[in-house]
Amino acid sequence: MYSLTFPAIGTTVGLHVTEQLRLEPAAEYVRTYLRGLDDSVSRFRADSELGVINRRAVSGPVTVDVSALFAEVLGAALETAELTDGLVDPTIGSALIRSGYDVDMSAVASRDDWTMPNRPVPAPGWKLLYFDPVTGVLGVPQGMVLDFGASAKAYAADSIAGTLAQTLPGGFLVDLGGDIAVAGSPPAGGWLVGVEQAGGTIGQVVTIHRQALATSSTRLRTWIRGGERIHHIFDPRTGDTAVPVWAEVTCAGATVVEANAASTAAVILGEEAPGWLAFNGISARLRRPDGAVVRTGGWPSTHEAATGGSAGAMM
Amino acid sequence: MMNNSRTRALRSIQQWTVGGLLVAGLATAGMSAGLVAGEQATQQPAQQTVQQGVVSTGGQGFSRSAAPLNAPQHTQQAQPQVTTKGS
Repeated sequence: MYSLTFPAIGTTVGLHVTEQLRLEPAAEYVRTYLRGLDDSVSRFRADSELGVINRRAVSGPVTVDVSALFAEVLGAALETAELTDGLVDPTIGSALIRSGYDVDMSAVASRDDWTMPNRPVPAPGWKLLYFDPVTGVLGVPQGMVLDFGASAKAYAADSIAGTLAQTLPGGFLVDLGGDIAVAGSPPAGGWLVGVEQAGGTIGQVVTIHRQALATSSTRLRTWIRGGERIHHIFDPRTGDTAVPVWAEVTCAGATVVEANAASTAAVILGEEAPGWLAFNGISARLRRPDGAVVRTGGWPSTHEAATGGSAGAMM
Repeated sequence: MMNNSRTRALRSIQQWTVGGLLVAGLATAGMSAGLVAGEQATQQPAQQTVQQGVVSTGGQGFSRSAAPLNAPQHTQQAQPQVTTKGS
């Protein structure tokens, strides 16, 4: 396997290919795609398409024709909201800003502290958005701030891996900060993925062939607010950071968008997450801050052979 | 709508396909990037968007029958190729 890692869109990008000749053209494609993604949906750039829409919405309702890429990412965000019954909501932007996540995470994390101007307010809700995917017309109510942080990377990983496999021979694994998509012919034995835990230790190594994986963590992307360390996954029902019942949640799915929707929703659901994941048939590994692991939907234990476990929540 | 950023990205791949070494199966992705003049590219059959052995919900909600097929497999291999850093 041949690999390359580089920073982009505020995270670490990993590109892994089975054929050495494909690494350089694939990397060029990834870089170009992510530059376009940043131009379109970065919440931290005033000149991005999203930055312009959010700024205009401060003073009044916005109706705008969005680009194709923006429409695709918005579609993934709305799909995520629908899959999770609104637990993962792209209208969470105001809540994030109010809590201090108003610029790139590296700048947020470097602050000594952040004082909230007022109490948390629930997100307005994704159903207040108007979007026609045929015409690309988006309507945003006044005061709403969109944030695609929960689904843009996931969609990009799916899209990039799919396009690479359709365009170049061989197998491809695209890792955008823990959102992992694979496509094309996997290596013999599959892709070996280590489930990383806080501190960098590997809790388990699993193989995937065509599945996607996504991990949501309450241990990364943290900062100090009002003297208390908080993380970046917010509950739209409260407008506040989710109670960190889980240190990390890793979910498998047919696409990264689905896996990411599940892992993010699981963090927000807290103690309800194993039941919700099992009910929805999602294969997941949840780890508590004290190290205890809960598995659902056939996620294998470290003692099982390659056939996987049975569905349902289990310790 | 035309996705200009994706088109630019695809052209970056096409620039590496000169001489017909690689393929440009762009139509399979529903895209219209167009080949750079002078390139010799070969069209390959469309690939299935849903691979065998993976269950997609197709945007209709999580499927309760998906987990057994989408679950990863445990391995005793100690050295992974990639890790789930999380976000």
